[in-house]
Amino acid sequence: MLRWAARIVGTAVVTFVLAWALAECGPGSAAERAAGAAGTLPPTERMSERRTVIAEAARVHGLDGGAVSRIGRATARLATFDLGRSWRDRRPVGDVIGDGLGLTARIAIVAMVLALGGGAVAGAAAARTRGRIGGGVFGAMTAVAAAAPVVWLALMMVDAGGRGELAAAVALAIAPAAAVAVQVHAQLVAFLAGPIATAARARGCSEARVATHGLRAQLPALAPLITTVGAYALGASVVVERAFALPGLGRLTMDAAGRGDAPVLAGVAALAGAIVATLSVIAELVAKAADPRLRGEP
Amino acid sequence: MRRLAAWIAIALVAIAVLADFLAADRPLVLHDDGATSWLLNLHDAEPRGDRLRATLGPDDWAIWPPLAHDPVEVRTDHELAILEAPSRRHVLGTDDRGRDVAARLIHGTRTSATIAVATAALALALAIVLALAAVRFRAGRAILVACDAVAAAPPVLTVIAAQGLTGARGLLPVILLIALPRAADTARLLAAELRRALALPFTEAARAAGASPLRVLVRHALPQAAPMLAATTALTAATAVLSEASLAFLGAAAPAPTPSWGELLAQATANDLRWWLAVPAGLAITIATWALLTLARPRR
Repeated sequence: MLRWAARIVGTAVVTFVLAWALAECGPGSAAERAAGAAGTLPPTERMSERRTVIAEAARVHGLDGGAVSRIGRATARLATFDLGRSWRDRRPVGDVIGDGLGLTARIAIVAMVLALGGGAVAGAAAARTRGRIGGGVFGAMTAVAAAAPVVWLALMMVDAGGRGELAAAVALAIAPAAAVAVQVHAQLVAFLAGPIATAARARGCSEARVATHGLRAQLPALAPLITTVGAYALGASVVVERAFALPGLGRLTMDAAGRGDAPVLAGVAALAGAIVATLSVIAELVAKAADPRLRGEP
Repeated sequence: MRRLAAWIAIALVAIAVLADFLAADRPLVLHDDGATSWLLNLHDAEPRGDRLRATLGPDDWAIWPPLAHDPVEVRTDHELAILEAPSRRHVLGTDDRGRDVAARLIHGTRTSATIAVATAALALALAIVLALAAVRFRAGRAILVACDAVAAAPPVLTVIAAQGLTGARGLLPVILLIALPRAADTARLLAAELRRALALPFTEAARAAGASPLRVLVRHALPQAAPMLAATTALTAATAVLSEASLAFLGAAAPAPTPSWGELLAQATANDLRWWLAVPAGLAITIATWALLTLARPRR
């Protein structure tokens, strides 16, 4: 339990520190950029005014001292769940991220369910109908779905009149669903031709039941897909939210990146790190729950 | 299928290399005032396009590339054709600055191919170094744990955040940030493959013959992983093509006038999804990715 928590918190803290370290590589002083991001920075001709505004920004955002001490203080504040304030409008970063998180979480969760569930069902159905034509159609469809860029799928869906969160979730789900379907299909075909399936059939199991055995036996191998699909959904949300004009985490990340709003970006980075680490912990737990042999490993 | 995919990949690289001779507004061969010049595309020859056509006399002749349009500059005596549907003059229509879409598509192949090849090479080199270090040194476990964490990083989000944080633009950071997670993923697989090879009798024989540990790893264990590395490298290239498309769509990849497939998709969004902007570019990305993914699949 402690190890999992340490992994999640550790990943979040490391991505947070990395983000701030990158921010220190930017041009000019951090305080100058903070004032610039707010759009209140007077031009260089009005130097004294400019200095006052920069000093004020440094005071509000706690940007005095050297780079290392700045990063250290930002990380220390993280321990109290204080992500700092947005350089743009001085709102707490937690609130800014909270505005978009709900929508993106809904889209990503629906996409994950569609990709994992839909992919598994499609792969299992294709494995049960072992026709040449059916197999060819399945192969072609999954090949195209896995290769089509999410941008294009999203744009095509918008063009066809697709709007809203569900359409966005479907666009996100298509490519990972194909990957899941291909994996389920390949493993299930092998399982159905194997000795365990033959033994089950000999004892009078129906084909559907044999397939259920096969799916359960695959769970440990499929579990890592939880991380892959989740990370994909998180990353592609930037693109999908732009295509569908939805105000989520992806949109606010784009806005923050456009303005160089480092506290928001560092917050997004820490959150993304925590989410991906959580997904990998979940994937590990699922694998261990499905396969007792994995539980012995440290 | 693998053969078709390999041919498509080769064809795309050829188009990328030969883009200047497939789509340009300079002739391949020009006979002007009794003198013949060859392959003008290799020089920055002026005049070009319609202006050159106007200067040609009755005895002069020129062999033009299949698409006689420049992907970036429009040099025409006609009225600028903005967002024009496909016609005889512009096979795939024009974009919102009157540039020929087919020419931009061909030169976009170069952008995608450059990023794909550079990313794949970088990720492969990094992965080999990381995996060798992970297997060779006692601190190797730490490397693999770090790889586990980095491998799941979503590339598009990482690039956007890094650009926002540093204010840096350009292709090099993009290539690096797409390559890093792929290198980490490849390194984990490669380390496992190296460990497996080190347990085989022939590597033991090499050790018994007095080969140094590094030599055993590089000369005897590493070649065992070649098929796996070929597959993961193809997957890296596919990831790079897809990521470049997403990033160019968001305006975060190659800077403005550079033609790219993703940039055509971005133009399509800005211009009511005109089909000649959206469909060919999307198909190009899909076909390239399909070929690379097919090559990345393990051999049966």
